[in-house]
Amino acid sequence: MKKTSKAKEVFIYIGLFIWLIINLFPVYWMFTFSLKSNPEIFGDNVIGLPKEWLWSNYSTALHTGNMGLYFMNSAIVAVSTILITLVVALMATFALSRLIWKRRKTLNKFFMLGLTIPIHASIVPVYVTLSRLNMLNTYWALIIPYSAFSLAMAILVCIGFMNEIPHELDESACIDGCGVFGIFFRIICPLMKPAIATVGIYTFLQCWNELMFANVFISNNALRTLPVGVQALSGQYTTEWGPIGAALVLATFPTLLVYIFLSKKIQESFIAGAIKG
Amino acid sequence: MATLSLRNIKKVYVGKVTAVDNFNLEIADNEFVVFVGPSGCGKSTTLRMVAGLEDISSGELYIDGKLMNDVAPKDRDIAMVFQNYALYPHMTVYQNMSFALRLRKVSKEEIDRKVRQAAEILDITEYLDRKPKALSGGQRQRVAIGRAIVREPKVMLMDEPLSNLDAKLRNEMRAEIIKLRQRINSTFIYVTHDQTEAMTLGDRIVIMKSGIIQQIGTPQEVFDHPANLFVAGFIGTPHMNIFDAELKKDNGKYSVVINGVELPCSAEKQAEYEAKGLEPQNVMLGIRPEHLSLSEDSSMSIPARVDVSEMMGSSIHLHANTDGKDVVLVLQASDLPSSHRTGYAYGTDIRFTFDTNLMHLFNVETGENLI
Repeated sequence: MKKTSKAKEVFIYIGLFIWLIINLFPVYWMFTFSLKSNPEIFGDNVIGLPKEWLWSNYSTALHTGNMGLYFMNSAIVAVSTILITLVVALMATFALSRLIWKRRKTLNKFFMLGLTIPIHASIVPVYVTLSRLNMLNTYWALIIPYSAFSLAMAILVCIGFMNEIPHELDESACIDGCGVFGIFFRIICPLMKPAIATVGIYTFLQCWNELMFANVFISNNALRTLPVGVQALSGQYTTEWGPIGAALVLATFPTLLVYIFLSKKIQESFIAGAIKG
Repeated sequence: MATLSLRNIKKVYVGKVTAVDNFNLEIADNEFVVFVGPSGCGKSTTLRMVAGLEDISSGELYIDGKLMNDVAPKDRDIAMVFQNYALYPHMTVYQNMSFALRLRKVSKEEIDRKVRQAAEILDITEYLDRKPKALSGGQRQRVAIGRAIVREPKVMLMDEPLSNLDAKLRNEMRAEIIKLRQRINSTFIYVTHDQTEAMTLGDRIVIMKSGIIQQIGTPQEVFDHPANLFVAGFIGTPHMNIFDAELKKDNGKYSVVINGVELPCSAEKQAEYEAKGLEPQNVMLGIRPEHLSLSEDSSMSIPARVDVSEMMGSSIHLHANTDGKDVVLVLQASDLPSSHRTGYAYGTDIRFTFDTNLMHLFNVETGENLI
């Protein structure tokens, strides 16, 4: 009996190890590819460690490819989008979940319709609108659409969390002396931390990696975001793939950090409310 | 301390469901009033209307003579203890207890003094730095009560505060509430569905059913003189036995007939019925299980067959069947012959009787007490 379970355990660990390799390989490949030259990448040494560690690829990406600037632009757009999405989503969720007024369920359904609209389908009308508002080639050209498209998912996540918070807390706060804003800021918001983390991470991943809007709405080189910047490193006649790899590592770095440091929070947020606390 | 006056209070929810109707009650300064009734009887709704958490559809609510219908909950000078404690999970016990005072911009020294004083009364000083999740159910309930008393409210509202606790803890906390009541000057309104809590805590009990007050009175009054069949069945454990009976009057003397057995009414009852001018009629006769006794006298006792015998220690609860109706007798074990001190076997034939001075007669149609 014990032997069988031991064998089963070994089998499971082998399976998990293979799964780990499969998942880590792209990261390894991207990192080594960022330190290689074109001949190594295309034939000599596709999956091995670099024969010559070309750290200069990073310097090329940062200086010649303007990755530092694009990184900053992406950070400004991502942070602004996260802040706007969180503030609007939390307030909307509070109004939909805690306040009683006519048509709130209808409005909730209206928000949820946003989940069904593919971002690419809206590119022409959004472009026309931004153009008429003279907002093309500004950070707002990305921040506003990104926030709008993140909102439906953010509200969906927040409503799930907020519905788990007992209404008695609002009532108790109301008797203690809180108004609507007091209840929202002093009681509800602090209890929404897991939802805030989930929405923040989700929104970050969405806008950090977004290429299409960033490519179409921003033509000013000084306002480009990372995905567009990486794409621009590819030349018309010759392309140095090493610096592109370096740029990809730089672009992926924040995402990896988010996963490494917040993975526990993400897991918690997905199971929150599923078990009695 | 405050007086409360609830006049013709009515609550109608959207969809025209009437939760509370024609609720009239005057509550004196420092009084402890308990609203009791089954689920959905409107007791919590009434409490929430007093708190200002529900709008009053019609009627008037006065606290200390001031109309409160449109006054915000925070301005009513009330505190409320909820069934599920409603402690703020992200705050420590100290922060929970001081929250209302901080909102009222009370000085830090004053807050500290009041919180520590309340914590001492409730024996929770050592938990002041803990978060609610690190406390047991009983400790959380103490914190919830502490949070209410630091404010020194005029009116203390409690919505089934002991329902989430286990039986032992509930008994302990009930005693704590009685002690607390003696230490703080507040008018209490306490909601419960547990008649034991109602009987032990309340100066007066308001018994409700389907949104309507059935009876208001002291615990003794509602126990001894239930206004109707509902109150008779609700107050007292085990419930009052109810029999179909006939009230007879022969030669000016009242008697009751149950299952063909005629029992003459006591002199006191004779006088009461005479004064009330009761006519002979079919009635519902109520008699509490502890007022029934076994009898050997076949002419003055009712036959029954034992179904279940429950040994409760000092007493035995005997569930029997008489003419198709269930009847419960509470018998003191010490009064029983030694062969029956641990109970009666299933199917044992017994005869029981009662002192007619302790019976209650109710109208068959309305269920109202005839006296």
